[in-house]
Amino acid sequence: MNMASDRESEIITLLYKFKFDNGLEKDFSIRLEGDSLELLLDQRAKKPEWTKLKFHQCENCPLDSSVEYCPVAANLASLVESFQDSISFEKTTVTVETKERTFIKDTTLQKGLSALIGIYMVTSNCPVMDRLRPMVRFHLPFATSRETIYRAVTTYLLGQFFIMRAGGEPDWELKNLAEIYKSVSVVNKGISRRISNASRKDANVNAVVILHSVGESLPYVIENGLNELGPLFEDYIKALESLNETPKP
Amino acid sequence: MVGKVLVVDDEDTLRLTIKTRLSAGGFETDAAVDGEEAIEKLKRTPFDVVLLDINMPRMDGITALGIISEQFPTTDVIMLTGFADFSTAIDCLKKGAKDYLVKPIDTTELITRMRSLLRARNSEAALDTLKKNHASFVFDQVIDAAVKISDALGMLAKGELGKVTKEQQSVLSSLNEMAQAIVTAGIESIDPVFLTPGGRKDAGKEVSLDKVLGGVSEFISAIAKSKDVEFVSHLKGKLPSVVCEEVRMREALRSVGVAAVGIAAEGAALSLDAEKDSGDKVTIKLTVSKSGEKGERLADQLRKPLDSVGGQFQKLDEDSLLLYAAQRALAAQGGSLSVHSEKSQVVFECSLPKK
Repeated sequence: MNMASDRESEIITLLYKFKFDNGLEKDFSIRLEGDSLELLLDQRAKKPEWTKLKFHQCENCPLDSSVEYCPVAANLASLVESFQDSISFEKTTVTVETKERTFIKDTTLQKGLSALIGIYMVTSNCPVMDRLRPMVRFHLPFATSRETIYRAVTTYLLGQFFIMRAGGEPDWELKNLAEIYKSVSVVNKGISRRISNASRKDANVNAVVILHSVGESLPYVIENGLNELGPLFEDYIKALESLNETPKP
Repeated sequence: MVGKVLVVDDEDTLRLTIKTRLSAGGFETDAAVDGEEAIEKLKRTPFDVVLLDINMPRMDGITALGIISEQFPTTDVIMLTGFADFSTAIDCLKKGAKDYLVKPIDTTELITRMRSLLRARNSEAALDTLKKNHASFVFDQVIDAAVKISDALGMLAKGELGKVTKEQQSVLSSLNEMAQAIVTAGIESIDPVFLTPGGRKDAGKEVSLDKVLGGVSEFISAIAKSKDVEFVSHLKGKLPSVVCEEVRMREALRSVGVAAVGIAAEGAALSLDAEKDSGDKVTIKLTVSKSGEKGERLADQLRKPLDSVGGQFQKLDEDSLLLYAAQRALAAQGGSLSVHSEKSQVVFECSLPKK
């Protein structure tokens, strides 16, 4: 096996297929660099005006004027153009093919599109969205809010484990996770402003709205001690209690 | 709990997020997937606020807003709109929406706006109650009493109830002017739309109608005599007891008497009668045999509900004021007052529930 084929094997591909009731089909192939999970796109395409960094730049954007285009917007441009005239609640069958398995769901366009836009956003090299990038490796299309919250928390905690192993100070209490999602909310708002300028109907914007609403609920869910997920780990707590009750010799 | 909110959006993630955050903020919440389901839910249970998405299948937010504004006017609507929908949002405000929020929604801002809207609603409701209480108090007690005092002082000043000296007449006339000024100020201080039918509901008790009507009959007889109007009471036999607040009921019947004497034409006769066998109510009738144009005008006036007289309210004459106050007092006791006219005869019909 030579180096070229090694590199080839490290590219992760996801294929999103939208099939509409009128027979129309739209396919989107997402290619991610295996290690960095960076989106591999043809950068030669002409970028529209709304993708410029200064156009409705997010309030918390850390990028300076040396960067001409918003990385998220630039990556979303062709996708947004494809659905600029689409209605959010249009019915569609979405098939997502990955190397390991295929997912299929009859859903609304906004729902299918939100999963796709979610991938584009976190793999674009946006300094704010980058913090969520590890989740893409285990992307779960059509995830419920609960599933997304589970993935977000567990991914973050795994990150803390690696921080600890590297000698850093881990945040086991998830103090910074809520902050990360608050920053992500600001970006979602900024992106939805951009997209609404590039869309005539509401499918694109509402797809971002879905992502935003999951992010909005996360700080609150953390604040409330992840009560919904707690019962899943009851056996862990019981085991701990029985260990504490074992009489010492 | 700070208020009851219905979240209407076709997207389940958004519905769930808003619902969860509002519940945590102390709001009672429910959700609907589109305008049609929202209307169905509103028919079953009232909501303080509806958070309404614009683009939805089956029935969109704008259609639903129209129905809610028309059929559920006490429910406030906040529209949820995308960035591209600003002009639509403004249209919605013109069509009755209280506010709009741009998606993606900041749920902390949402809760702040909801609380502020509900505070404003509560303040408005409290102010309305205050205005209603004020209007009822002024109309039912102050104006009613002042009109009667003014009438009595007028009669005294004119010597209709006995001879008075010039000095006494001067004092009585100024007192009468003061009473009339109270009536005018009272009328100017209230808006008839706040005069809810019946006004305050009295806690009634068993009252002997024989005793009350006996006193009322004497009163009408006295004022009729002073105006040279013949008065005949046909009251006979024991009348059933009624359930009411005695003073207010007696004053209402006296007002009817004052108005009846007031419209009596020259040579007219007044008769008082009571029907004790008219179902679950006792009916008291005061008939003016000849009234002229004034009686017909009064009968016409009384056929219009008080809250519909609007701009004419301040132009009502004293007899109309007394009769409206009497109508409200009897309604508050579960009874009624109606006035019928045929040719020149006018009949005032008061009813009260039997014990």
